[in-house]
Amino acid sequence: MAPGATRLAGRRRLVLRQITRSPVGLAGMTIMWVVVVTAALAPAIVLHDPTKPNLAARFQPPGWTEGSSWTYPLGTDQLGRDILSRLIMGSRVSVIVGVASVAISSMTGVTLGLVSGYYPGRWDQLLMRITDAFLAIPFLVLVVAIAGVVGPGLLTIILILGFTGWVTYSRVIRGEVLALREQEYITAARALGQRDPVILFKHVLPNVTASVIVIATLQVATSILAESSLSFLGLGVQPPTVTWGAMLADGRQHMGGAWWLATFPGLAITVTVLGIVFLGDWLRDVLDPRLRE
Amino acid sequence: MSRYIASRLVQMTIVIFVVSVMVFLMVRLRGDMLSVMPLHELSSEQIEQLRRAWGLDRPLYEQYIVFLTRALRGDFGESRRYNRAAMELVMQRLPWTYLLAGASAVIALVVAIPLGVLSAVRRNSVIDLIGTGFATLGAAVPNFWIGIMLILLFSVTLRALPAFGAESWQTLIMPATTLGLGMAARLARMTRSAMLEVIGQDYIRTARAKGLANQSVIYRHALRNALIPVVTAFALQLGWLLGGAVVVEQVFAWPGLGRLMVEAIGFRDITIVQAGVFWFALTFILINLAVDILYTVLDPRIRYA
Repeated sequence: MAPGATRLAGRRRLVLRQITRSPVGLAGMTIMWVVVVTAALAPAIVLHDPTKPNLAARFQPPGWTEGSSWTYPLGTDQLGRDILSRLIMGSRVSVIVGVASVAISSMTGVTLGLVSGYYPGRWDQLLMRITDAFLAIPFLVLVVAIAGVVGPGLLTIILILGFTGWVTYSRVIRGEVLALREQEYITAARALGQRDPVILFKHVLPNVTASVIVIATLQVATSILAESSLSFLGLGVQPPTVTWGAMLADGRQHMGGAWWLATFPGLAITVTVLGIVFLGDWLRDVLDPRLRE
Repeated sequence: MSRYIASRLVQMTIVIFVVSVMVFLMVRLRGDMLSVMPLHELSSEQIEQLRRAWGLDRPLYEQYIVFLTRALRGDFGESRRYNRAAMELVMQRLPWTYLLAGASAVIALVVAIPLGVLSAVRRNSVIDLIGTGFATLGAAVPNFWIGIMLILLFSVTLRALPAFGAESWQTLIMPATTLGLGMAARLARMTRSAMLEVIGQDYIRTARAKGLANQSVIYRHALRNALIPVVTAFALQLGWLLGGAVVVEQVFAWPGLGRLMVEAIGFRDITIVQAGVFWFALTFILINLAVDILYTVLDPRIRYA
């Protein structure tokens, strides 16, 4: 077994022990659990139908304001739909997009990073130039343009974010693999006649896992922010599916009279992303202090 | 140094070339350009005619060569909606985006550098807590939401600032603050950690040991050295800033390139989208090139092979 694998098992114990000691890590973990459980149980825990208009109850202010009731704790929107129920439902898109897009980009990026770091040469050079080009186009510009051309939809957004987000992984992993391949145990594995794919996945991969986990965590945050931007622009997931970004777009339309429409979805995004950032920062400190800026 | 600049120029040319391939392929992700355009009013024969007229029946590489040779001359084709060259429209909006990005960058620097330095110098103090709190929160908040909240506070409630448009200098304040604060958060974090690293160095201890005033040690010895990674981060964050402009321009109805692009997407005006992406990328590439060259001036120790 590669030395990295045992080290990882040790780290796992360390992680469990340390989470209880770090307030930031604990806060991040708690927020993430709340969001994920909310998303999973969403249809069961909503107070009202999040998509059904109720014109009699348009623009109800939040429950604590004067002259309002607690029927709609966070108020209602321009069609009389309950904001809290919509927030609960909207968490689903954020969670799905965050997780699925990062799954795609981490698998793509790690594979490409492993291969190009292990076989430096012409393909490696080509891949690095493609990476440069991806990094040269401001991320949101690229995503907005592709979403605009390809068209909106949940699956499209996941694919777009997945296939534009792999660059960070391939960059970092390639760098690490370049250093790793000179290690003696890799030479030893090669001398023992192990085939390259086996070396890559059994000996090299375990040693880059820490970096992958840290990058992936922070990228979930980037994906969620990008999805909300796209939905805000009307290029993301379309109604009747509820998204926090689209709720913000509604809120912007009705800023003059109903502050609660725009306030709460933004808070939901912020708290969720903050939870992921906390978790990511803490994971980085525990798993790999070298990744600190 | 000239050799370094020459090699950077070659590298840049390759990147621009790959970007052009991406911009070319991007609009063909769903078949050819015609399939993403609203052409309901045309018959299938007319569409076929259009396809031949635009050369879309030719092999992909031939189409790319045509695209590239035209793009090199600054010709990205006609905008279908405005009946004008896409490039001309982009050039009209570009100064607005540069103005917004420039003002935001200034705000970011003015906020982030002092905050980052103070956080590092007074480590674990109240100001450090505020500084790191701002940095963490600022990176998590969606910038368009900040924009909406600013409008709610300053336009709707206080009636102090105009919410939309670009008629007077006051209209620049809120969009620039929105983008500037987001960037400041990212930059303050970098400044803090760069300063902490430098403060731990031997030459800082020496400077202190020979009895220099604290101010002088911090600003003449530490900050100068910490600025190099900060400048790198600043240049890279400009990419975030330009991307953010696309959304923030929409919030404030700012007449920049981002807004033009989003409008063009609404009309399926593909040529503008292509020209827009290309110019966003080119701006970002040129800024990073300028920063790389600036290093050789900033830091004589850096020798490039």
